[in-house]
Amino acid sequence: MKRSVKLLILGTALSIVFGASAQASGINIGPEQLKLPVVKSGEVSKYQKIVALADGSAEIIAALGYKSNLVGRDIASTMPELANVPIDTNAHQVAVERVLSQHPDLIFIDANTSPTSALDVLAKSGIKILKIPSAFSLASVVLKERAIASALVVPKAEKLLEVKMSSSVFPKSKTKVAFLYLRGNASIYLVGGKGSGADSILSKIGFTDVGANLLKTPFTALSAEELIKLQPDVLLLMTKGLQSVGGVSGLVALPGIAQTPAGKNKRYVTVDDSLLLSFGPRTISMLPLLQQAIAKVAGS
Amino acid sequence: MKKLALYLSLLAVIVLLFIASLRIGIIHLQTPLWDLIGKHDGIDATTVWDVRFPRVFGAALLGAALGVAGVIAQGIFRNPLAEPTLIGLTSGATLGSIAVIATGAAAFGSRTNVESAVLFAGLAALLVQLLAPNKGLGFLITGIAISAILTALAGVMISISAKPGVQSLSFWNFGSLAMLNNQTLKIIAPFIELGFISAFMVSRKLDIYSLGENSSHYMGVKPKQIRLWAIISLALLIGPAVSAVGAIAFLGLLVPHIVRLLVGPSHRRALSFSALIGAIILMLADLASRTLFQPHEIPLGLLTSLIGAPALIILLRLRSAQWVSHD
Repeated sequence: MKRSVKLLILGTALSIVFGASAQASGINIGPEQLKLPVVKSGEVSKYQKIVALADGSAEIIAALGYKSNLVGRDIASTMPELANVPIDTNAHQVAVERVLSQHPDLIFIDANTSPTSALDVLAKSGIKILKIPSAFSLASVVLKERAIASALVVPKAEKLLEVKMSSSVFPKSKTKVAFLYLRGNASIYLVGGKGSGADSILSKIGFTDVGANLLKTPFTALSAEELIKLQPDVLLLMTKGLQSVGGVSGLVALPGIAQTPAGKNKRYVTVDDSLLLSFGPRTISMLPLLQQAIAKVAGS
Repeated sequence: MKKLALYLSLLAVIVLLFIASLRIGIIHLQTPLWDLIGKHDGIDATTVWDVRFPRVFGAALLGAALGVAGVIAQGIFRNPLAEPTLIGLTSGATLGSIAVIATGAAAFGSRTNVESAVLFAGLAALLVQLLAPNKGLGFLITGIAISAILTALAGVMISISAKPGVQSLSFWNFGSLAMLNNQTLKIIAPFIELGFISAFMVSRKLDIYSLGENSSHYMGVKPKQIRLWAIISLALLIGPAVSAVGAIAFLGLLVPHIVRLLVGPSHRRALSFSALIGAIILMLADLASRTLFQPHEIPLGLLTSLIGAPALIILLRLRSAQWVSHD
């Protein structure tokens, strides 16, 4: 009788330790793990008071060594190094009065800067406004950097930063990754496809972006069957995205996730929301960390 | 005999649709459906049993629930426009669901979430009945006003809450079966089954009740009692449906009208036929929503509105449509 009770206790303990549900295997990459690469060329910028409203442009100006010339920035440039520079947008809309009060001599905008009426007012005030290309892939980071450096007339700084941003070559891996953009409290559950931005990052660090291989649009609403078809080994997510669905337990409860190798083994990598698709100098510094994180999670 | 043949034909359509819905989807099954019975490993088996089955079964169950709720609502409020969305039940259930999720008291898809949706749906319907004037369009207008207030409150809660699972207003307003899984089905099914039993018991007295309060009183049917019973049935049918998939428009309004056209005004008969036709329409809508524009999925409520609204207009134009309306 005693022996059977012992066996029962042992069996229960083993079932708890080696239970059916897989232990979560996830890694988070946060902004504190990265430093903004900054160069010092000694050149003097043509413009002394710059408002950077184009997505991520403040980050590039700071990396070129001209953080002290920044008097205002956009809401997307959230790195700690820029904490003292005021944000000139209200919920992604330009706050005209705030910009005018900073008396800038140059304003950087891109296709996303809005509203047009606010930009018209700024243009009428005689401030030079320069539109630079948006970056949605690794290849376009350099184009954006060149446009900014060229406007500031700092060719040496431009070259120095380009050398600093030249990324390493990464080994090819068979690991299949799917990028999910999640905002659970707004019912936004998207799978990254071709042109999501994550596709260029995953391809650069040697992994297969299964979403980009199958889905021709940047983002597609997450469908259970679509995800099962993709069969990712690892999921790439934004940190707040995972939080918004209630963490790992909420993630695997989403339709189709539990039926993928990544979901079954709870393998995921999260990257800070302001970092993953910011496509600036920090993106290049993030690549080796992300490559190591995905490889480690996939091998666990 | 004709009605029996019709009943059996509708049942056969449900079975065929069920099989077709299990077979059709983004993933092309490599294994025959028959061979997947009892299997749970592999892409085909998990797709069929973990993804498609809860959606198809859910569509049938919820479609039947909404159809039956439409018959009860129109019968008890003696108004051919009294569908759950218009009389506060749906927005009450939405608010009940969101209230517990937004405050962190319960998770989306949990039993507490369903219970709260049932409670709020019932309270909303009682409030409409309490505040509505007896004559004319007062009842419907009160229903619309209460619905607007409850939806606005739900919207405020969504705006100020960042709790996981609170979902967006578009999810709650347009409905989607995409979040339905076997676990949620196990939780909502008993509530809906209770709702069916309760609705069938109410329906026995609805034919007498539809003659008017005085007549029904002399024939042994107590109006207050039957109204309360009907509201409980409606809350049990609508609350779980809304808590799991959001609001699905037009089904509760359209199905009873189709059924009256087919089998006449008897509530008892209309109830079982409404369950079958509601199930068929929702299964068809779900199949269309997940297969028409692959890989995109269309919100279910949009499709039911697109199908339901024109169908309702056609029915209105048909002189043979039998309306039941007594003030």
